[in-house]
Amino acid sequence: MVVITAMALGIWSLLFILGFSHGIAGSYMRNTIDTQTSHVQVHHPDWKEDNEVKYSIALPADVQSEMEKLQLQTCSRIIANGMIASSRQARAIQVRGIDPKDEALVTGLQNFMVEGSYFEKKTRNPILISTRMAELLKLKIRSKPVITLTTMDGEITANAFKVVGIFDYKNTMLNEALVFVLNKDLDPILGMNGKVHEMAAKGEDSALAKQYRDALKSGLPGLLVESFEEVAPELAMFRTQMMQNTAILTSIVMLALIFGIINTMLMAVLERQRELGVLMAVGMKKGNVFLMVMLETVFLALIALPIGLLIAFATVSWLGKVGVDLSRYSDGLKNFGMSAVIHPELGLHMYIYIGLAVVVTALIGAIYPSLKAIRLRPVEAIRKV
Amino acid sequence: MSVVIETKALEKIYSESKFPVHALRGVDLQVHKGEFTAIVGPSGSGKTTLLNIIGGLDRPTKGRISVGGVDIAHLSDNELIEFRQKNIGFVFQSYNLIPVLTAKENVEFIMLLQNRSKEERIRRTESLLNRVGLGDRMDNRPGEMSGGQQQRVAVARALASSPQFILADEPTANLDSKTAGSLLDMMLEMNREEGTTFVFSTHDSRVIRRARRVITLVDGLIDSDEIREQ
Ligand SMILES: Nc1ncnc2c1ncn2[C@@H]1O[C@H](COP(=O)(O)OP(=O)(O)OP(=O)(O)O)[C@@H](O)[C@H]1O
Ligand SMILES: [Mg+2]
Repeated sequence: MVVITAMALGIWSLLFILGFSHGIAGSYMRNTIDTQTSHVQVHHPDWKEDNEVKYSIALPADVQSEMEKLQLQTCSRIIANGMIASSRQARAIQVRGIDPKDEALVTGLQNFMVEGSYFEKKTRNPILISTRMAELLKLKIRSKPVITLTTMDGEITANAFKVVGIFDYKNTMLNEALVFVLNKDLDPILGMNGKVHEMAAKGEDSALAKQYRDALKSGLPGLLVESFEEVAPELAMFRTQMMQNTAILTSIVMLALIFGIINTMLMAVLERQRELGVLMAVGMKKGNVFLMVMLETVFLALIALPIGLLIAFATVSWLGKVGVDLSRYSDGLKNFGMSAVIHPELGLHMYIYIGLAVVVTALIGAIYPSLKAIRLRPVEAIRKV
Repeated sequence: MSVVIETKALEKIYSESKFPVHALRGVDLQVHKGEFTAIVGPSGSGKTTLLNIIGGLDRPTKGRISVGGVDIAHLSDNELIEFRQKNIGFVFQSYNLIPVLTAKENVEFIMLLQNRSKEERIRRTESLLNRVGLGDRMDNRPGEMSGGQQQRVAVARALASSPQFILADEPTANLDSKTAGSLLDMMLEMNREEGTTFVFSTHDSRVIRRARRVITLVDGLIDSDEIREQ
């Protein structure tokens, strides 16, 4: 009984922790994809190396039509590195010229607005800045920072923009790096003539990103087409890391399980050596005795397993629904673009893997006690009272 | 009558401990079919050792042991297990029934090992338990039965496999003398009516009185071998 409880608890806590970490990882990945990388991005082949204004996509309309063939939601951006300056201070930033309607559909930038509006009022040269930037440069709505950029021709231009909205990405790095202006304002400043630097697209499912990429690649020779894991390699790394952590954690728990099982079954065998001795004395073959102890172990595991899985499934789904608010304990998460409310989640396949792992572990753990059982000598086993 | 057990110059030396113990020092013995034989002798004289070797639970150090014409000292462990299952019925001093099984299951289990048909198992189990006078306790577990009753189940279990003979090491040692007497009566009856061969060790004089052959061991040797007419 104790073993069953311990096993069930072990399975439960493993799945719970996995659910937690998968929840964190999943929400981080989804967040990043949904608000930053989208599913695929297209650039000039040299743009990644060196974000120079001249490395642009010459025919954005072609790219757009290729993307629309795949029924993707698309948006295009003009991107330039420059300086933003208020009367107080200047900072290096990346200016993104966007089409507000398209951007809203692809990355949902409008959802991050905390003050002002999302390019709603008609103003000359409107700009969105982050809360952090507002704080650093002491800017407010209607302030007019000056943005200095290098044009296509290599000339330096400075233009005044008017703050119409303040956003908060809940991610310090992004907040410190990005400002948004209108595509149509930035185009003439840089001399783009309709060219853009980045085109991003989003489909139904991030799992299809590689398919989208391959389809676009064949239609867009001469351009760099990347899935989100190539755009943000840290996402791929993050995922591998998660998988490694899962494997390590699972191994540790399984190791503990093996020792628990060996211990329990050895006790069970020693407790019943007289019985086992009698069974062998009256003619039960060693193979059958071995099988008996093995089966008993698997039987234990098969009782504990559904209990552990079920409780884990219940807790993970319930917490997944209501979420666990960690904001009181960790301000740090925020800096990495993670939300402080964690929704544990675990794919069905994980329950199946863990279930199989437990059965295999039980079998491995049962081997030694089973061997011990068949090494008993009936004469000695029976003599013990 | 045919010989079922034959030993020649059987010796057993226990050498695990610091001083080797010469438990059997050359036992020559023949047991024929249908015997009802008691092995007696002082404590430490080698009774258990002899029965263990005859029963294929232990191996002799020297000498020959054949059971039903088979030289069992040279069988492998698993062959020995199978040999015991087919040829020998055991009754132990402390009953040694499987505590989680009912009387019926304890008896039936042996036949399950022999792959007998379910029908036959049930028929034989019921007739054996009736035979030992436990027709009404078939579904009781060992814990719910007296020592005498448990030992009767053990006898039924020993008989279930249709062995060549039944070995019993002090089967009555844990029973009061009245229960011991009636167990012995039952065994004798089976011996008379069905010709079942019994070989048992005992200290109990009332049990010895009922035996038809009494072999006395002293210091690992046969001291006397007395056949009585009933
Ligand atoms: N496993 C063993 N290791 C060492 N010595 C043993 C072992 N088993 C029995 N002996 C010794 O062998 C001798 C014979 O023992 P055995 O048990 O056969 O006697 P017994 O006649 O059955 O005695 P009892 O009437 O007390 O049951 C004894 O001296 C005993 O101490
Ligand atoms: Mg003895």
